Amino acid sequence: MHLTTTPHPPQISNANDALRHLLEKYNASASFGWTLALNAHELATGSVTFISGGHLIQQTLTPSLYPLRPWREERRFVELRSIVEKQTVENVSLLRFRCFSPAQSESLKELLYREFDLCEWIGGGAITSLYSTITRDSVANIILSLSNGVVASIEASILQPAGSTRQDRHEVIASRGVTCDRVVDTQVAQESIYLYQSQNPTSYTDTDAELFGFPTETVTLIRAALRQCQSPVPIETLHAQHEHLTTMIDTAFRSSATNRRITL
Amino acid sequence: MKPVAIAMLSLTHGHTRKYYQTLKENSKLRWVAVCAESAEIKKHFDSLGHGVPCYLDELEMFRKHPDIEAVVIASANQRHLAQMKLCAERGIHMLSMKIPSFDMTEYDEMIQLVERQGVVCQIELELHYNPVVHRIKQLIQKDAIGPILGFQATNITLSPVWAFPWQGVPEVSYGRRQKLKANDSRFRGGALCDHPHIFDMIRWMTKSDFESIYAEVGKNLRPDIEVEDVLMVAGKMRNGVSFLLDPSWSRLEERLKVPGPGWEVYPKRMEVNISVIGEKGTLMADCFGPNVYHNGAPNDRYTVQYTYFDEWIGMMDEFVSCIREEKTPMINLPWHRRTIEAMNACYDSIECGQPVTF
Repeated sequence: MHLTTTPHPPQISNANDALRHLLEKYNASASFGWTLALNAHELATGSVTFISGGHLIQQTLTPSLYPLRPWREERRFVELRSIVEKQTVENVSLLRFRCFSPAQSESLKELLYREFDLCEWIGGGAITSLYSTITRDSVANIILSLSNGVVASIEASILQPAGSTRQDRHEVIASRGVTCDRVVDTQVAQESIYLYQSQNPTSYTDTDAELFGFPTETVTLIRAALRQCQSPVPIETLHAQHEHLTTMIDTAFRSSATNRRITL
Repeated sequence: MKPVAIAMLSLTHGHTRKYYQTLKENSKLRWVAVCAESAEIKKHFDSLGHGVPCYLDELEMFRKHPDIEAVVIASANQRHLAQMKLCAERGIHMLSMKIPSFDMTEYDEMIQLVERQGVVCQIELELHYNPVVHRIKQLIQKDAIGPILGFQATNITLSPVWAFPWQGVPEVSYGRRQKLKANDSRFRGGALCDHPHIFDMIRWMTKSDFESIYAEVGKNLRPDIEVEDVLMVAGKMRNGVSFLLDPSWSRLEERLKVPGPGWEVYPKRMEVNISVIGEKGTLMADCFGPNVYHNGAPNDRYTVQYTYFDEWIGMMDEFVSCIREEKTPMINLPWHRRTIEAMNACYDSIECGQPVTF
């Protein structure tokens, strides 16, 4: 018997190289020069830049800036949305979302940008009203309504200690069934691997074999850029989506400042 | 110390059965009688074999047991004032269920009654005697997370309305039949009325009072009940703490007439989780965990089996201590009034669609 080793993904450590590799592998290409930017400091001039929209909240959009929503590539969110869309859970009533991050990894506005989009994407409706209380631009508690009657709550904080992992939870409650990205009766995210050595314990969660070794935020950005190249969404649409989400953030801060529920 | 001679009234509250073990085992108590709300409830109680005489008439019970010093008022909310009068006039101390009344005039009458008669009236907010809550309070007191900026809490359960039907009847649960809001067929009196704990706990933990409160109801998970079953609450405390509370019946249940194994459809029947965000750190707590799990009888469903419920022990110890040492309970009627006001403010907010400011 002839034994073969498991095919191993090529070791690519640069996100741009990884995207290039996948574009070649799947016979996809962009008709223009592009760059993948992992944050707002890496914005390129003279070529299209694929970047997470959350990093562009303080930026003026230009035709070369492509604000993507990489979290829509994250497998857990894809599955949650699919469970709702396929009516595995029926008659959704509530979304209960939480995200506690360290300030070093994102601002409160970036966090809300993502969570608002997840509310609309998983909940299947547009935000129609919003009430928010925000303390020191660091903690936010929000209740919002979607156009389909679903009510959602978002608990947000960027006061997790530097270096700690994001703690989040996304739960959908319906009259038939509940779906959640966290295990029943647990409070924190589970990892795939826990390594206990004489040094500090380490944990690993790898979800993409083709992009093995990249952190989740980079994996999802590469996947979002690949999807944009394979099935292009017009730049006008991407910009409109971005404006919509930044408007929601402004509305949240306005609601908190005026202590009013705001109807959109 | 002479044991306190104690009785129970009505036996219709969802927490009734939690007392049986404590009343039997606590050596500071002498369980002398109960009075059931109906013949059906009496029959069920008698079948449990506690060996405690069960009556159907409260006056008869008090006449035959003049030694009764205290009662657990284990009844529907609508019955509380009349039973408090009955007890207070006889100098009998009372352990009230968690909602004395949502009618603030009635509530104030209770306060006056208790003060006039000089009896102890403790409110059953048993979460204060939970060891996890004790640890949270201790950590906050030790400044483990610094000044508090944010607070979130869940008090989510399955709905008890199938076992305790009064909890789905607006007049009995809320005290009157009041629509939730215009163009909504539901009435006040559902999940919110079942979950005061987190409205109380935030006051203790933040050492502050409500400044404004906003609430919104979701579509009912159980379209066939006429009270709300899911809602979200947000707001701000006077010291600037931003909060979000979830007091929903968002865990589905089998519609059992008597609670017991197999009640859960969702694996976990009840959750009280508290997060406190401070300047120096974040505290996340599950007040009823960790637990054990099974997928056996009766429904072969994955189920969370709770591992402890000892809150009633500490609570009854405090009740006895207040009676014998003439002390005021931690959760007394005047303190609890603000919690009830906050819950009423949630309903007002649902009705007007805007936050209510205190």
